[in-house]
Amino acid sequence: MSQVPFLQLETLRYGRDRASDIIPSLSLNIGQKERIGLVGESGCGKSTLLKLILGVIQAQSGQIHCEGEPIRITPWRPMNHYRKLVQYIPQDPHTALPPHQTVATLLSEPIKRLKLGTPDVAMLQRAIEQVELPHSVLAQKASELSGGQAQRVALARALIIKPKFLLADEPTSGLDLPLREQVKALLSQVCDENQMGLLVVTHDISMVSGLCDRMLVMQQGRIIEDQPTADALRAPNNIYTQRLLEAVPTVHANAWQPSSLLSN
Amino acid sequence: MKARLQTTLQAAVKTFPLDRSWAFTLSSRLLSLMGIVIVVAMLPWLSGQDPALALLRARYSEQNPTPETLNAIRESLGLDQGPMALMLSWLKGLLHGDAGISWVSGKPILGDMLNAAGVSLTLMGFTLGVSFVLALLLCIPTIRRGLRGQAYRSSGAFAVLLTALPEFVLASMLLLVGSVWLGWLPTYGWKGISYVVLPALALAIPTAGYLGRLLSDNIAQVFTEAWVATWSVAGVSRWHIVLAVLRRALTTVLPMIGLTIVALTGSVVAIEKIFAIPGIGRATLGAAVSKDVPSLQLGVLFMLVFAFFIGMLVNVLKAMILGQALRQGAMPIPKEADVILAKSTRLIPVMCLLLLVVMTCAGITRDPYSVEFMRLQAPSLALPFGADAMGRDLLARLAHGSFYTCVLAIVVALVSLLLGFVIGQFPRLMAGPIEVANALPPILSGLLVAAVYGPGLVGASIAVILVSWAPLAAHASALTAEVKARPYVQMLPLIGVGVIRRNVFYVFPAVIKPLLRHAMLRVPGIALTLASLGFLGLGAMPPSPEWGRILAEGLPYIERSYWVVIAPVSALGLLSVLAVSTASAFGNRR
Repeated sequence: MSQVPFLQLETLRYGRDRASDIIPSLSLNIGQKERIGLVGESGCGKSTLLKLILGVIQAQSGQIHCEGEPIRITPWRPMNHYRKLVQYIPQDPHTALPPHQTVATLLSEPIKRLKLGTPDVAMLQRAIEQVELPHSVLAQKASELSGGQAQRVALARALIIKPKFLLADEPTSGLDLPLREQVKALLSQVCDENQMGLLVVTHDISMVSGLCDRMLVMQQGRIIEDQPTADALRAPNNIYTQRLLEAVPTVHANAWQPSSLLSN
Repeated sequence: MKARLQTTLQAAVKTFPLDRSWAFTLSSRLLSLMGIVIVVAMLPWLSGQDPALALLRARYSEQNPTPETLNAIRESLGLDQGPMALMLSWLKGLLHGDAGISWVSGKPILGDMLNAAGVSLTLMGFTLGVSFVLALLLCIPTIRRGLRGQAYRSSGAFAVLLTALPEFVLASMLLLVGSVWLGWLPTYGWKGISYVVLPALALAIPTAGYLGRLLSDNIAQVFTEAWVATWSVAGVSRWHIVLAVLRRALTTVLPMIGLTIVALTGSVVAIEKIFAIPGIGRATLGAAVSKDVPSLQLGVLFMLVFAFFIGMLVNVLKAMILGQALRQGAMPIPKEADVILAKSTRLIPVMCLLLLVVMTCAGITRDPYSVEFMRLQAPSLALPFGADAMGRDLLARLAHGSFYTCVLAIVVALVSLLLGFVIGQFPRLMAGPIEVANALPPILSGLLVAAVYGPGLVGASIAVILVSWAPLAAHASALTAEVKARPYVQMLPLIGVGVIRRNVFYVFPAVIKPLLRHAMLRVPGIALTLASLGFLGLGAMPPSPEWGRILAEGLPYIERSYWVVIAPVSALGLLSVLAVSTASAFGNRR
């Protein structure tokens, strides 16, 4: 990590006018294979930042460099090189996959469009194995998948491109609790296997602590905390981070006792 | 440079408290209105043939077009100055009260047209009065239910039936019953108050049915708003509550009332033709058929000005009634009411379709063109619907006509769908044209197209397409916006899908299905519009067995042999009930 950082964001600004910018000015360096957790309240600009990095929306000013190369968004010219490096998994897998396509079709689409080769059955089967799904899923339509399956398919579609960096927008918020743990474990595993960096936007502090080695906290479009996860959890620099950590719900087996209510 | 321009624009937008899209829509609206006026002004040139030749044909159909006569005509009208100059001089003349001279009679047209407009306005006034009374009567049951706290929208089968019949079919029925069978009222003409009754009723009943249904829907909805319960608990009198509810409901319906009045201008043309009323509609229709372009221009302009005026009036009225609440965006939101659809609402369109299919099957093997029977032969077992004035089999004609009309209506619907889809991709740019085309009565567009293209099936189809793309475009743009906002479409660039591929393989398949359903729901309505143009002589030409045409051919014989009217009227009636009931039974399934 001595050379140029993988992603460099320089003074990004995004918003309608300066008074109410979603992101007033943001700079950030992200290293190769770094795993970062990004937390913050709803509406603080996390998802916007994610879309800026993905190159789906264009910042009003500022610049993004990837491996030293500037990233420029033009609607008509595909940014295929960048697409092969940075991929994404969505928040709600059900709305994030085209419902009328079969899993096989939607997995082959990026291979064809990004010219990664010709999609064959073996390639698709490997992709689907990597996310621990049976081969039979390939013939199913996206709309027929369960939430957990759909999220895995979305992950498979990102991984089939073999990106160097994965962005995830609250990847577990649409899933119920046991599934969240599975997806979390799976993310950790595929990042290890593929030597991949990760930026995960989440409300779930346990996800950050279990998965990420660096923690960012955002408030009103600014990054107010940027530390290794362990340090941030132990000694947050910012009072807001502290509150955020205190607000994490914890479950104690004996916290709720009906008898104590009755006796009062 | 570009950045500077952008910041200047942004600053300009900020200094005006208007929304940018609002200004955009307004200018789009004004531009499209100007566009129509220019089209009207350019009518003599749009026909693709030499205006001088057109005039010669219009005035002296038998004279041979020698170069000398043509040149003389060009000079006398100033046609040699070119279209731009003539358009300007036409507009300038209008401002000075000179609308030119008729190509047919060679006399100034403004005075006659103003008289005709007066007649039409009188008819319109009576119609509106009757409509509002009828519409309010239709709302009484809903109000009574609302006061008892059981606000729900009735399925309103009766009102649906009233709405279904187009004016020209209803007018033929009223003529048959009111003046031929009962003999209470005069058939044709414009000589006194008794002559207004039937035309005004024919115009008012469908209007009142439509407005009454809308109004009672709204009243039912307003009764669910929280303030009504608060008022009744607070002991406000029922009378006050009813007035307040009506005021609320009326404002929501007002824009639709405006559109309905504008649509009436088209219906007036048909009604004036049927009852031989010397109004502006009949004059304009006559001008279109005889290609008297100046009279047609003036007539259409009058109707457009009237429509524009009504639109403005409705906006002012709405602002006056709602006032403060509208400006502050403080309108209460009604609860989402459950629409109770009776099973019979699904049954009605199916029954209508079945009857039409049976009729078509029964008559399709018979010959619609050859004269095999006595003139106006009465119905019998061998000849179920009787024979028409030429002695042709009416059943055969109707059966062949239904096939013909259906195929044409489907083609028109599909072309409208295509246009609507393409235009719907540019919603903000096209907001004005969509609005204008939505408000333009098809008969008016039929008149314009007939003037350019000559009356005929193709012309009628173009005229219908010119107005029927608009609702489909509005729907397409809403659907497209919704699909483009879906996460899986927004994130498509990530997997290397470009703009074109996105639109063709992702947006189009998601949009086309509901859009196709919408277009198919409009097929009966389109068939009816085509029939009404045929009825006016702007559509299918003889001897083609088009339903509107059959009705128009039968109408002169209504007093002697009613069956020449009964048969097409019942067929068209079934088609209209089919049109309205399909839309309301299957239309609101999203």
